[in-house]
Amino acid sequence: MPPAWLTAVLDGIYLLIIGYFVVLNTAYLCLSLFAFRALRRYARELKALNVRDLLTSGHVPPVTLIAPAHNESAGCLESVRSLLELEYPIYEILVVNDGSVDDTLELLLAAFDLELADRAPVAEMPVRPLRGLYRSSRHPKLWVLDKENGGKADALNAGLNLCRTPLYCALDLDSLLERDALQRLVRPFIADASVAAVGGIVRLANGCVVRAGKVVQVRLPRNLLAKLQVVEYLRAFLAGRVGWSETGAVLVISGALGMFRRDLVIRAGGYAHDTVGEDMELVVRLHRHTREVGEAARIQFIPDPVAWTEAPETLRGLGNQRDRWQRGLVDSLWRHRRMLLNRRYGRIGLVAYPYFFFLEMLGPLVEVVGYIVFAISLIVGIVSSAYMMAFLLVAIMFGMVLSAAAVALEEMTFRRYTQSRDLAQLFAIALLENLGFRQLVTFWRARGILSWLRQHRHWGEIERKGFEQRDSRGHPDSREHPERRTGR
Amino acid sequence: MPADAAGDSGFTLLLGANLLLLIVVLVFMGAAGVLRLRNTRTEKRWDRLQGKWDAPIAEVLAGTRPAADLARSVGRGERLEFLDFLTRYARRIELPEREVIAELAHAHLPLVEARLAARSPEQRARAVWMIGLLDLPGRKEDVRKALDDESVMVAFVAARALVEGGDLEDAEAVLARLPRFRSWRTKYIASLLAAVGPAFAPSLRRIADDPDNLPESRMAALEALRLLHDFEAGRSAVRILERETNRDLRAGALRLIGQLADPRHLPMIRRVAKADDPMLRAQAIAALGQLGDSSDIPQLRQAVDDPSSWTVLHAATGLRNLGAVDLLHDLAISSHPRTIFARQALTER
Repeated sequence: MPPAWLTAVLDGIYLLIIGYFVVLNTAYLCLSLFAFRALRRYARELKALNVRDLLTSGHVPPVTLIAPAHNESAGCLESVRSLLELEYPIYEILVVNDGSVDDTLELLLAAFDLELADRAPVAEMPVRPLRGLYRSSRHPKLWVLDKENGGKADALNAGLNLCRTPLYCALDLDSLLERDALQRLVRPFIADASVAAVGGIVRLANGCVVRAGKVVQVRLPRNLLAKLQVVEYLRAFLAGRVGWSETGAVLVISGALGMFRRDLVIRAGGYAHDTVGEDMELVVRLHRHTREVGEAARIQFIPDPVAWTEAPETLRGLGNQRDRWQRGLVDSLWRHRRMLLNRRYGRIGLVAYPYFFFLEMLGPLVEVVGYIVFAISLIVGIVSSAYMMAFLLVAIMFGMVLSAAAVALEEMTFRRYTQSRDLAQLFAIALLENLGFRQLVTFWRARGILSWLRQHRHWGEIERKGFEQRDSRGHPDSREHPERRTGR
Repeated sequence: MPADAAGDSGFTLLLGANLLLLIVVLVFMGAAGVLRLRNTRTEKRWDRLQGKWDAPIAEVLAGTRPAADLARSVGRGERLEFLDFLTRYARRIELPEREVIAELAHAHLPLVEARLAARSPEQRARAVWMIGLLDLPGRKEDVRKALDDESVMVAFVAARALVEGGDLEDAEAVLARLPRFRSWRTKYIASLLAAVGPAFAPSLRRIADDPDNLPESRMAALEALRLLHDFEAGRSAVRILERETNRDLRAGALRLIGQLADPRHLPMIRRVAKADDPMLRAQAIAALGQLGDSSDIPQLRQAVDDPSSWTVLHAATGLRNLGAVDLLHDLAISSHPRTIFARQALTER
């Protein structure tokens, strides 16, 4: 018979875990419901306000695409070619070669006839020394800035210093933008001059057929780990981000696809160098800065502009990524913790921040402790295994509900996976995801928190294969030889 | 937690929750399956109808087939799709072919009218868009009424349809409701207004001149006048610079007179080029660089030392425009902290 104090402590922990479970899943459910409402309305709005008509009937602001690149030789050429094909009236591409040690710069110089050029900065944020600025003689809208390695934030700031357009789009060079992505991203800025930033959806290119930098056929990946991430991304973007945008409390815009007002970002100080979560940190700081100076600024997420990216297909790569993302999250939230439960910051401070702080930031630790405590309780015999299993099953089933809801939202709106077999697989994955994968991600996230606490700030190694050309049956195109490269 | 769960109501609750959650999962899966079937059927139906109408409409537009033929081929349950088909076609063609499209659509007007009264603002907006695009005869009043729709989106769709028509009376109706669109991007609204044409300039000047109008409306009007290269608007711009304190409005006025290149505005520009506000200074230097003369070179040279990069950029460009190439060259090879601006001005065209 365990001592009374132990029982009391364990009861307290059980209560915390159950409370966390109820609050978290209620929040997820609410976000899914908001997302459902928002997506239905958004789909109708898109029909009523045709994007192309909107853009051809009036002046649209020019945009600069800022794409940091570090050791991107495997896919940089294809990515840049793809960016040159975007359908948008006036835009520039500014690739920032951030001290690559492979032949990224050499490849770009040769492929696009780049020549040394002069371009005066219009902002003066401190960045690592610049080594050269080039402009393509063949494609005058393409610029390449070569600089010493300083990290992604430093590269983005260097690009911002040269950016002269009212809007800029921060993106990852290892992502592929859909041709109309800029058109769709710019729409909220036209309809509302107070919009400060807009995020788009990131989808997984693993398994898709890619031709000339364009995803021509959407398929599920063959790799199980990548498949699991497909559903995860659907849940995070279609349910999560759309839900938060509907409540006016977007705290994250993906670094792979986001459009921002240049003047606001520069006034807020640009990207922070000393964090691995510079994308989230900027958005949080924008909220904070604009509230503090009394400036109206809305940050939105819209689900139709798409960036395709490659998900890690190994446990090591995925673990490093999730570790890093969690560190970025913790860092961003900790830096601006004065916003937590602070009325001055409106819905951000009173709703979004507490959610992210207590549930997303600390949640993984609570979950891991929960698993450990339950296991110990089972072994010691404090709880019955039947009861334990029933509770665990509820947790898993709830996760399945949320994942299944995300797949249903996808089917209701964009239906990118046109093959019925893929839809069936997505549902199977939605169930499978909760039987080990989510728990693994929780463990990596918990590890990320501990890493942050140990002041760990490196990016780790992520193996990337580049966008592999595939034929229409999904088999690797024998004309292309994918190369392995190592990301930051 | 109890060690023995047998007979425990909490355990029963958990089992019940599991069952409920399982049902919800199955419901989502079922709903997605039904959606998939419905969407596949809709797509196939659309492909079939499109195939049915594509060739005939081309023949009707070419005049080799009577429109009545095509109209007869539209089944009762196909009318909405036919309207959608016509609007998609109309977007790709110009007048007078669009009149043929409008004639074909006319028979299905009641459907469009029903949508005008829909509860959903998106449906109303789509109906207004359709009427505007197809220029359905006798329906312009519906579009004008939509300017006062409670939804700004519907009002905007109506405004766009009216100004694209180029009719001055319609454009005046839009102008009167400009405050509804004050949250929209000024340059976008301005470009819509400018699309009406030079004949609209007097009305735009009226808006720009009136201090009782919202600054956003006045800025949109000024920008539209700039796009129209309206020479008369220079007076409005000068008045704004002399009397107004709103910096965005003043910046808009500077952009306008910079483009008009009327040397009578130079004294005003030279004064504003010394303003404390860096944004106004930059705009004024840009204007000076466009229409100044050699006597302005010293002021532009001084502006190269300005703390604002935008001012320096415009100053360097202005020096080039005014022919001070040697001065720029000396700057470019000197140790001046802004040599890059001089080099850029020399290489850019």
